[in-house]
Amino acid sequence: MAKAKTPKPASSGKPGDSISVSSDTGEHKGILLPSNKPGTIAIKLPSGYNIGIKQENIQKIEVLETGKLPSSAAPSKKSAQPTKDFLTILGCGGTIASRIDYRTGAVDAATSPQELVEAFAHLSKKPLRARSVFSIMSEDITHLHWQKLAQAAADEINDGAQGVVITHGTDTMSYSSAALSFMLQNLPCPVIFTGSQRSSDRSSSDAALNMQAALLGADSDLSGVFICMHENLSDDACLLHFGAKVRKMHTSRRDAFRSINCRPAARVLPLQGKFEKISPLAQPRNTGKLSLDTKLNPNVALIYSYPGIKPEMVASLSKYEGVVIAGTGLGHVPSNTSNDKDAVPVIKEISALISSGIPVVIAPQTIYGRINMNVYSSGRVLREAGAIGHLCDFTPEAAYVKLMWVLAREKKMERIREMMEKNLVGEISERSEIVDFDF
Amino acid sequence: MKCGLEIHQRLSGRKLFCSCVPPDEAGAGALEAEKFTRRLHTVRSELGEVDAASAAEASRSRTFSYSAPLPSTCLVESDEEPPHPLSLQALHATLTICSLLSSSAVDELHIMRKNVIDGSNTSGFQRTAIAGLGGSIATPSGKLPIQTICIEEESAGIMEGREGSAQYDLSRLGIPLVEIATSPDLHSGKEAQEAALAIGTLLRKTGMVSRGIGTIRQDLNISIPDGARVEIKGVQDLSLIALTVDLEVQRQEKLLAVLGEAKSRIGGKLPQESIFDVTDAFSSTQCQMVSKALKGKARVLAMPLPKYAGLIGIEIAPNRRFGSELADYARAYGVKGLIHSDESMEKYGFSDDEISELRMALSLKAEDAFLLVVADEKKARAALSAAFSRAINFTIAEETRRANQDGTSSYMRPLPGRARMYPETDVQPITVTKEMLAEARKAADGILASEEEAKDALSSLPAELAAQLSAAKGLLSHSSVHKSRAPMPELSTYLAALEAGIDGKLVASTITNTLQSLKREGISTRALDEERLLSALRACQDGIFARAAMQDVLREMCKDAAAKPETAAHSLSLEKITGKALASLIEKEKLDLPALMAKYRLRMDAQEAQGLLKNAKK
Repeated sequence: MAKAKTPKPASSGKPGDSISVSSDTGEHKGILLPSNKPGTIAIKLPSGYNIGIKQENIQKIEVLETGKLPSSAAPSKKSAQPTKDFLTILGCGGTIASRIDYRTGAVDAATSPQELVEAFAHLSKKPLRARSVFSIMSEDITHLHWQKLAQAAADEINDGAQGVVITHGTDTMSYSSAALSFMLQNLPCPVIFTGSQRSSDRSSSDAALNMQAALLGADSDLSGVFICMHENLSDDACLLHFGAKVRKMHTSRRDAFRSINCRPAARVLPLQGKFEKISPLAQPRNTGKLSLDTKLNPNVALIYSYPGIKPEMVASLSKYEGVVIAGTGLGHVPSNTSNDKDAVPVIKEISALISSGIPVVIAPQTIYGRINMNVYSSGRVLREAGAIGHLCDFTPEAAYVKLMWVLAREKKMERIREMMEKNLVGEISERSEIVDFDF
Repeated sequence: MKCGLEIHQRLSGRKLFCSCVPPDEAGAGALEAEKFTRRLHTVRSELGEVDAASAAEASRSRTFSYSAPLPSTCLVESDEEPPHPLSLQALHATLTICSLLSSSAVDELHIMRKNVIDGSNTSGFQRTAIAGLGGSIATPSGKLPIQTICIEEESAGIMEGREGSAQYDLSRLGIPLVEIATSPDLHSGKEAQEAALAIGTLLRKTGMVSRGIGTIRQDLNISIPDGARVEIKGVQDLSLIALTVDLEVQRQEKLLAVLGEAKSRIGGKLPQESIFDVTDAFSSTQCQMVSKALKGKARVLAMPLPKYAGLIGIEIAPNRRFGSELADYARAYGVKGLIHSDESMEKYGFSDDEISELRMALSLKAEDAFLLVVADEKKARAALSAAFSRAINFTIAEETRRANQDGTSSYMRPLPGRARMYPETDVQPITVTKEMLAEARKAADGILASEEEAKDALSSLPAELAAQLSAAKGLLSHSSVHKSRAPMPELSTYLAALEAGIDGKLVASTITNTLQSLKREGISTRALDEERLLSALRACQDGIFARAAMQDVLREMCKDAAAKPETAAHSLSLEKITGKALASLIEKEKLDLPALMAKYRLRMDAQEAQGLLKNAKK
């Protein structure tokens, strides 16, 4: 098609303006939207549909009326914070607080905790307080965020909060819940993480039920750190998982969180207002004094052992002060105890790390089950080299957080081993119950 | 009056946003299914508005149960996994349809989420995108402009809709649909029906769409002067379109008359809404429906409608009164129905005493009417309030209505607005490339060319056979090897069989009689494409089985998509007895032709047997 085209300036109209576009595909009237792709403009037609038009196909853009895109924030009024017999919501961002970014078209963390209070006040029997601690997607969270969060939760509890709900991205929620399990000991009340797997800008969001269950959990007769998320695909039940014994086991399902090597603490049925205790290990509220200790040594690495892992990769870990290796099976790394010519062991490098004072902790990459380095000779070799973790059933993530916590307190290898292999906050179970694999 | 059409046609192939295959292709039957329940909530659109239609549904707070059969659903239908990339097969079909309708494809498809919170989509929205704008379709009354061509997801099928809950089967959810919306330039029911037929025929010609009951659905947009735009959803039978349009025009006209009368009776001052709990008046009622409900938590709530006596019972469509409209509004809030004073109270089993007590409680005069609802208090109040708002709104409301089987329609929810749409952020906009357009144009040209070819071929056949072949449409599935002949596989098979030297009579009778008989038996002939039918014709001609056994052999081949004609004949013990074998059979049986035929009809040719019998006599 030989048609003379005048290159169209992209500046004709700004997002929110009503425009008329003459292009090769005809004339289109609508509201100009922020474009997320160079060379293309996006408009919203009166029917509500969006379409994209290539700049090269545009002959003319006419601004019919200037306007602007309203922010999608709900009208928000400041209300006084309660001071007695209240629950606190601490906002950390994540999907539960997210909405669409029209520039990028992606979902972003945005909602303020005040909006959350407005949205969820009717779900709670007790008055709610809200505070935004930070607002990021959870993959960006570091140990500094855990420290801020633990501090904020402690402040609220010391100020009279009867329970705390933390809204958090789900990606690294179980790292944060493990961290707070170590940092907040002797909790008199529940601290409950919750989030959502479907953003709250869609009507099928799991946020409402999770939030409702978390608020019920925060008001329950429990103490400790928990994660509260859907039990199954239905919008009827949520589980409270122990904070140091839980893991995100699915990328997208709303029941992604599973208790690992233990039963969940409790089940909450928000629509019926029901709360059912499941685990005998769940502790009731108490009048003890909360002890807050947020010290961490962040110089810890967490890696997988895998077929073909290179000795130099293990050797390169010498710049860390502690290493967690998610070992295969019962807790193994390549050790070539059968002297095969093609096998490449990494035992020597692990020994070197340990001899230089770097603790090496083995955790199960199978996630379920317990480390036992006595069964195979490869395990025994690893144990003889000084690897820590024998008989532990912590998740690799809990082991990682725990090592950061232990290293901030202990310097001696033997004390570190002792602390790591002993249950401190529920991260290691003594018994492996048959039903533990079913939840 | 003005009327526009929205035709929804299912496209063949995998689902639009996942790799699941729709149930009739995956194999139906009692299937293992996962079950779960969900609740949906109202949300804001990207422009900060809450859609009226969504808000109306949300205020009903319903629980939805889902059944997800394993072979035809995955985590995408369950709203447990983000959508996979859009099916390029469905996009190609849509762009081909755009090309056939001279509609301009958009440069870039933006997948939108259209809020639908009646539970028919687990996500709470339907994914949809405009693929083409403009164009036209030729109809007997001239060229009808096309407004938009969209590609979208099919919703889940409702299994059971009850008070406060609904149950859906997810196997249908996510099947690709093409939605063709015409401009509102149709002026009668007849025109609308003809246009729908023209579009449906064009869609079938592509060979890219699904066939069968429920695979095409028509929505109607109708408005009259002084009336309002009303969308009637889900007219499944093409022959009902004209009637549905005409009845909607009639409904709006009659409703306007009723509302006009109400307005003039009331004068300037609108009555206030007041709801009374009159449960006590019915504590010992003989009305079974009420006494049964009162055993539970239900209350009897009533509301006066001053000066409405006689108006509520006026018929505005066959078997539908103004009261039926009010009842539809009430039902949208989860009550079973509504009783009004223009109905026979005897029908319900109410006594005169009960009704006078009720009228007294409401302080009704003779010219006043009442509405009555029996349900749990919260629902009953909401229902009465909705009916009241409808009654004192003297205009036709913009509504989405459900098509009924008799051509009438019932209120579903307010007409959705643009606030119903927001972007599907899990799928990137899709650029329509030059290559995609060229392929679509090529396919469209092929379809048009083969239509010409089919017309030519039909015109060169004897008139009777041509008519029979035309009538046999839809008996054969499209053969993948003969794409260009797709519009009418029966004709293409007929021509191919002649080319292959198969007897014309055998071919014609097989297509026009045998296949029809199988269809009447309820056998799905989907598994038969040109290639397989040709193999059966060839086997018959080669004497593998007798002509009389054709129906049995084809039935077997329909049931077992892998069966060859030889194996089918063998497994049915229908191999043909011919030549020496037949001669020795005749010698052994010593029967005359009729007796012989009665016994071996399916295994031999009558002519051959007759010849052999004659020889034997000699």
